Amino acid sequence: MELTDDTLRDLHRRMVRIRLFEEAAGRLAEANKLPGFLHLYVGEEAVAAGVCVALTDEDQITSTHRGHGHLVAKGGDFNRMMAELMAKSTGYCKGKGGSMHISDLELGMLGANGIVGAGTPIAVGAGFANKYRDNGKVAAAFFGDGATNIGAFHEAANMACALKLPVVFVCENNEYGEFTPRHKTMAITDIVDRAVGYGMPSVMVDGMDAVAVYEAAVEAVARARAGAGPSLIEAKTYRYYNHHGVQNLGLKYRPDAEVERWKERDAINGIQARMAEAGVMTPDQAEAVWAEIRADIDAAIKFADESPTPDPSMLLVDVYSQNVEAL
Amino acid sequence: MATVGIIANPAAGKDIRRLVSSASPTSDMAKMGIIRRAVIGAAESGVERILLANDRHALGARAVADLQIDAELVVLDDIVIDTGHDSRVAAERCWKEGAGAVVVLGGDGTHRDVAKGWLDLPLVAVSTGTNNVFPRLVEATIAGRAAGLVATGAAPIDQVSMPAKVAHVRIQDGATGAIVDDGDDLALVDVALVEGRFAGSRAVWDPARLRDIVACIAEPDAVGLSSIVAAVHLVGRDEPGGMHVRIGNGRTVRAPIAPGLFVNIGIASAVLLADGDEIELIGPGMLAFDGERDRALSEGQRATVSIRRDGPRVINIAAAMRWGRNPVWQPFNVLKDE
Amino acid sequence: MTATEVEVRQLPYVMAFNEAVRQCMREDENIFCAGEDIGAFGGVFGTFGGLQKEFGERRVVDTPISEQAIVGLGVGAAVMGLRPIVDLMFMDFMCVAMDQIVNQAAKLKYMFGGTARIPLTITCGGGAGLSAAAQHSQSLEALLCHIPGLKVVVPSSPYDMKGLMVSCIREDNPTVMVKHKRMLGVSGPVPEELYAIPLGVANIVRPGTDVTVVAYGRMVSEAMLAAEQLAEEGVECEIVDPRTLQPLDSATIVASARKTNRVVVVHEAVRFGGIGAEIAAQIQEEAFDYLDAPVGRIGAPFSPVPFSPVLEAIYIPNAARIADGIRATFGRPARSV
Repeated sequence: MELTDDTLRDLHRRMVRIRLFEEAAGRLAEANKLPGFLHLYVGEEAVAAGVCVALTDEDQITSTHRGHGHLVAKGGDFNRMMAELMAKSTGYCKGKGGSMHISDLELGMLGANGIVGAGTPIAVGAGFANKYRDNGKVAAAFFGDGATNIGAFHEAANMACALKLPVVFVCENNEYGEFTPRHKTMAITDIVDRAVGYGMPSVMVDGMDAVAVYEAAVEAVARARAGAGPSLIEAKTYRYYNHHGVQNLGLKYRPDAEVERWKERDAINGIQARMAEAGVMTPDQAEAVWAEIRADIDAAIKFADESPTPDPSMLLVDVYSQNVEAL
Repeated sequence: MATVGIIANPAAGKDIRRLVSSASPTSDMAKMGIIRRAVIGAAESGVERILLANDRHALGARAVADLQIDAELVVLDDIVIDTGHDSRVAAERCWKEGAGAVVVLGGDGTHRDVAKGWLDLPLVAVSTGTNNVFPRLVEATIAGRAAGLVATGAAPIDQVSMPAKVAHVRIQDGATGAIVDDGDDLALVDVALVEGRFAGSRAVWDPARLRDIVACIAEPDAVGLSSIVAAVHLVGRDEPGGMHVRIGNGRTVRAPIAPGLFVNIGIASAVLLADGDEIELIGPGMLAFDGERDRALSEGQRATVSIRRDGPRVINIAAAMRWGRNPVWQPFNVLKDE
Repeated sequence: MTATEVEVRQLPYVMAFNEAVRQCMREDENIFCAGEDIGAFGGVFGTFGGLQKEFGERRVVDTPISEQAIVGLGVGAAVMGLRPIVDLMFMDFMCVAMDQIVNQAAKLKYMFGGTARIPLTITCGGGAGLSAAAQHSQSLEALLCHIPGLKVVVPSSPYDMKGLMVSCIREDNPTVMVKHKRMLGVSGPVPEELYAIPLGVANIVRPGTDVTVVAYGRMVSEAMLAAEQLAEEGVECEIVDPRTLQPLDSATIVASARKTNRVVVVHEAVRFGGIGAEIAAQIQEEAFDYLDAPVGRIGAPFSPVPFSPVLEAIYIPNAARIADGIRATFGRPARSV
């Protein structure tokens, strides 16, 4: 497998796009400009980017409540994303879904999901549709370590293996289920240890290394595409911000030193340094990428700011298809 | 105080070779069972203190959680970061604490990390990794027992162990010749130069990317990159020196570079090395130690590899066990048929 | 009997379901079925009998006993454009899959801003009467009707079963088709050709002038027996079968109430919080001035379904209790023991 310069630049770009979008969203939330909950993906960029670069635009993903990163990595449009976070009618969900339900079916992004683990059976369904149509597409399910304590994950993993579906299970193990450390909620440490029980191969990778995630994803996707069935990738990663929002809410549920240790291994810093050493991207070129994306973010915030809120007449629209309204 | 250390790598046996080859996974449950049996074995040999390395999975602490045993069990309190660095720190700590022998659970990579912390540690090597050239598949009960016999002095270390060979790597800048890194990088089995610029998922499974392999062990039953060298010429772990093969057009050999993964590969040249001979590998590329991509060589950078027998004192389990016979046990008179 | 009625074939309720699925699958390659035991075994009540033989394992899929994943499979496949029919065997098992039904299937379209289409049919066997006890006998339709985004279908005859199931399959929204277990063997006229009964359109099963009886599922046939008794007492019942509870054809129910001035709502589900409460409330909102008596509600008592055939017979509403309920709206005394 050749890791081309273009692939590296693509990984880098998608990660920077996620980072800047999320940081902007965090600032907006602190300024009380975003209604509702906000679960930021900062720190975990390498996982979404590594997997989505290994997928084609035609492949599908399901996501989590921490889903902005997945949509950005799949090619999501900043304007429509930012508008949705601000609950505007120009948003991806016309202001009716918000952060936790952000989705773009045309990009194969089958939705962030407010229910932990619930995306995994849906990815199995998408994988089933791919196999049914023999279209060579693959469905990848993103989920956290906490989701592997939920029945839906186990049912989905078992069914995907039993039916030998083209599905890739991607566990973002960030060590915390909301505010509770993993070791208090499961007696195992590595989610890969669960995979044996379903009869699927699994691989543990450094989730702070986009190239490592990408390499594993390429293999898992190829395996799924070839009809060999599901695999599980566990990416060890970390979220820099709180479970939701940016501030720590005064809650000390993880030591500062731990957060700092993970930040030292920051995935974007890592790939930028290596790309500079390898002559793929100079620091100036990297800065140009950041600047360009910052401008896109600013434009998106402006677009969202200027967009209208949903018209009250939209309240009952889209409860049902063909606009059949409930009584 | 007779002390045995136990170091387990929680990450061993979980890497990408589960996807790209037919390697089996090794679960934490399996590793904890191994640790527990090694502890029991060491205590059986009369060890007074057993050091359990800290790891992020707390494998050691959990393995002995409810174990009733005479030896004092000490879970080391070193801060862990869940990389190979943890194994290295644990080995240094075992040295400071005066361990008479250390049981290491892992693959070639784990043993390399341990050697970085304590180069000539008295070692019982237990395989729980993927490509098991340096450590062997042994039963932990006996591995712990053998380590205990060495630690208590029942089995004299000089008589039951032999230092392992180490491929030492020194890295110099291409233009200036300045030493970039000296002595820190090493391998216990092989050093390879692989095309590419990123360590990525670390394992090497694509033969098309291989450029050079320097092996200090090239044995006929090996799996991994050293199997390519072994297909050309055998160099046993007890024999001096090693072998350098350059991959390219030439005689094709077939070798298992990962579990269940046989590949054809062309050998451009092969040179036998004596202890101390220096071989230069020239960048660009990735240096892989014991089959794991680790650090990049930029254009023109040179890695000088030399093999010396100054590594871990690997304890021969069978030899050590001969010293552990029960003193009241009398040999039977073995009668032969006339 | 007219000549046309003579020609109509008799078919059991279960086979009307089966035929609807079969005929739809023949015309639309996007339809597939998935569920426990539905393939080689043909479904626990034979509801999917022979389908795998005709359509193969690709289109009639045996799944693990994993209700969340079965419905999730349907949701994911539906959002990708297929038209899944997923079977949960017993309606009670729906509770295991409630997240996928309530939070996923019902919500995706709305919370994705309308971009998703979920043409999913969930089928299950509901109702008591087989001594199947508390976990295999429930009528949980009220839970589903409370969820915007779902449609809930409760056929009362083989004819309705086929036509309504066809509509469920063709529907672009998630539907739950409740097959009443005690009706599976009940035969009735079912045309051989494919036909659809629109969802949300009630059926006046028996026209009448004196009292409206709203009943669905198996309670329609019990209400018909009650109506025969009442006819002997000079009371002509109009029996309205809403056929679908979500959407609910309130207009037909209210129009009938305004005509007869008396209403009794009957269901097999527990009375408290049942769909009858919703219907009664709508009638008092829309036809209060027309009512000559409070709206009566007949339902099961507030207890789990009992195992004992003796207790279960008391538990399930029947013609006699329905008749008494109707008499009550006229101030007449009960006659059942």
